[in-house]
Amino acid sequence: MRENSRPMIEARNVSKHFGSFRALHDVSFSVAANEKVVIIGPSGSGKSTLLRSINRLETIDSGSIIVDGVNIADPKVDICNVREEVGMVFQSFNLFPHKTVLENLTLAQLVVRKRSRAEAADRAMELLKKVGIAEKASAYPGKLSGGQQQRVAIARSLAMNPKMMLFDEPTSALDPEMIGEVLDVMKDLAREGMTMAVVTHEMGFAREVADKVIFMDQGAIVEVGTPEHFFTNPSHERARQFLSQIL
Amino acid sequence: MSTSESPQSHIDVGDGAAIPTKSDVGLFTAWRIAFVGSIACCIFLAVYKPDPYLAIFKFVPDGILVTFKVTVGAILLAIVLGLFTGLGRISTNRLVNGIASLYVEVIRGIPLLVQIFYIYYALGRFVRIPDLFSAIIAMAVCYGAYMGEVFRAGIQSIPKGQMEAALSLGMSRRQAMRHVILPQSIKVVLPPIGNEFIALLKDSSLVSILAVSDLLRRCREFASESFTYFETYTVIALIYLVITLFFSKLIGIMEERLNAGK
Amino acid sequence: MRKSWFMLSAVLILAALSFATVPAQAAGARKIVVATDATWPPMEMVDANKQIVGFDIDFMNAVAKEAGLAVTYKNTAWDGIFAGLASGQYDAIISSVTITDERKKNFDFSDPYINIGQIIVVPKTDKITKKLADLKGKKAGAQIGTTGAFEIKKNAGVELKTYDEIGLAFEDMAAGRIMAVVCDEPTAAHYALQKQEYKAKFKIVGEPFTHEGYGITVKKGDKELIALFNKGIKAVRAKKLDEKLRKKWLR
Repeated sequence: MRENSRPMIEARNVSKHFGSFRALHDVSFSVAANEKVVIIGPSGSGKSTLLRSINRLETIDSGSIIVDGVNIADPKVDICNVREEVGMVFQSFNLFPHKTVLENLTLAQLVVRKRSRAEAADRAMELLKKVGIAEKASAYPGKLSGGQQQRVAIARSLAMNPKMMLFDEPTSALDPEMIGEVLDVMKDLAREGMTMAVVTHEMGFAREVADKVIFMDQGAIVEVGTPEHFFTNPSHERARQFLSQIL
Repeated sequence: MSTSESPQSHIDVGDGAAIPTKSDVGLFTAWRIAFVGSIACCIFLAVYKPDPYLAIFKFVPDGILVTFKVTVGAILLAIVLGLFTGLGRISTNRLVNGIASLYVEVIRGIPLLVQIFYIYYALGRFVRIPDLFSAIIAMAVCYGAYMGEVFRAGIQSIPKGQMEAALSLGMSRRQAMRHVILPQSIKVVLPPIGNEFIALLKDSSLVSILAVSDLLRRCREFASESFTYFETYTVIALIYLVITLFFSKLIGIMEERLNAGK
Repeated sequence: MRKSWFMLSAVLILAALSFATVPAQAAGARKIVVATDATWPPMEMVDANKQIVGFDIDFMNAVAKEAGLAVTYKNTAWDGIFAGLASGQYDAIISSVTITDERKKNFDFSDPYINIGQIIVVPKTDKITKKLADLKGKKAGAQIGTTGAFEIKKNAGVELKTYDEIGLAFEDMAAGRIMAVVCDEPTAAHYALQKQEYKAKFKIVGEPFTHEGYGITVKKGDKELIALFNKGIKAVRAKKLDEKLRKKWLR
């Protein structure tokens, strides 16, 4: 259990403002290796900002975020090295529209990981099979449904063999009938032991997969606990309110 | 909170000739009439009144060649300059950004004619380069600034998520720009570059002021000897019209292909 | 309403005043407008006070005085100066216009009032060039539509570059883009021998190689004006005024 001795992600006293708007206020939390953390909360509560600050898509004003032993708040750190190890899936998929599905998966492998073409393609096909759309390898993303696109996006991140995965509302832009196929892929990933931090409104997913649920409101963490604790008997009034609205 | 994107794929640049597409019926018909009409005019004048029209047509071909050389040379150089300027304009490096922005502001604030004169004679003070190249450089420096804005708008029209996705995969900004952003921008910037090309083709007539023997200067030389000013300028106008109409059509076709490709 | 009428008339009067640049001349003298391209020193140029001056201008004034004409000058670009005369924008041109057969077909000229020739100016580093034919394979510059340009063109193998103003040709030679400039001898002397910047760089080679008479140019068929000019030129010559002007402007 040496692996678990050091958290994969450890945020301490993180604060951030957008102008005068307080996006994050003194936030501290950690994600251990193989742990699945689900971050929930009303919109505008800072959960996406928190997730995006883990790979420095947002910079923070104060505090520290240590990812795999590296303090990414330190401006001297080459963030690219960290990002290689941290996969990220976006609400709007963000596939590269000018590249085929296969090229979407191989690009960063070639450019960043410096893998050979054959090696990258093998890895890509393996992952496309895993997410169930190997037959679309040569299609352009524009020809795919939303659910298919998001599965490709997940595969694209996995192709880099990341140590952890961040999901920023991965199903929010999807039609209801496509949400399931994406969640299934994520559940598979969780079963395999991937370290995951997920921002989502899918409470079913949180209940089933999460080791830990973090509830945020107005830029601060209000409650942290196991899914059983959080969904059955939350200690804070704000969390109770939120659950009653959403369930 | 920042995943909402507003792709602004429309770039507002255009003082070139209108580029007709099949969907614009009025313009398409006008293009046909103008193109066929101007060629017919040329032929009619040359046959009906060979003195001086045929003589003028015989006098100017090398001038047309020079006009092409200047236009093509300047547009290629301007594209390179514009690409770097556009990248500089969105750079987070304050020095690079400052230089690029200053360049654009200065160039946009000075009339093209003055710039061409200035750059041409300023170049002559420091380096020995042939007149044609000096003229091409002068035109390119001017158009590079406008091209820079085209590239900047083109790059900025690509949704922010594209850059974020590339960065999150571990790419550096430079790699993301090269592999993800620029290839997508090309489709957006191609139509305005076409417009700039036509505008440059017309503005290339300004280099005649530098004693570069382009189409306009050749014609003026002819007129100054024969005193046939009206006839000569009629021919100049017709030739420019035929050339620009031809190219605007060509660019229109290219654009249609491009749109059909995806 | 009344106020706006007043404003309108005030504007009109102001406009009329600003256009009426009445030359200070005796009343009753016939008024004419004469075009000149004041970029051809020392024959015609614009001085520091923005006045058009030069040999031609002084000479024209002397002729006008003798012929009873009131002259207004119009600074006009050389390229197009003849077109402007043909379309009646002014009555005459005095601008170092050489009387040539080609020009005579389209315009009428006064008697020649001075004889001048074309001459070659080259950089001091050029030790070879003595005549136009020596410039084979090189570029030579002249002002567009001048006899200098026509002379260069006669020499096959010499590449002609034409400039809107002769000064630009000298500037281009200073930048090394052309190897020679051909122009009227007094103008050549002005640029190569008097202008500080060029004195160290340029030299005049040989003697004038053409003999050209300058004439005052009028629209084809303007017999009346020609007669007046010729009468004036004769009177100026008789008084030896042209000798004085030559000393003043041409060394």
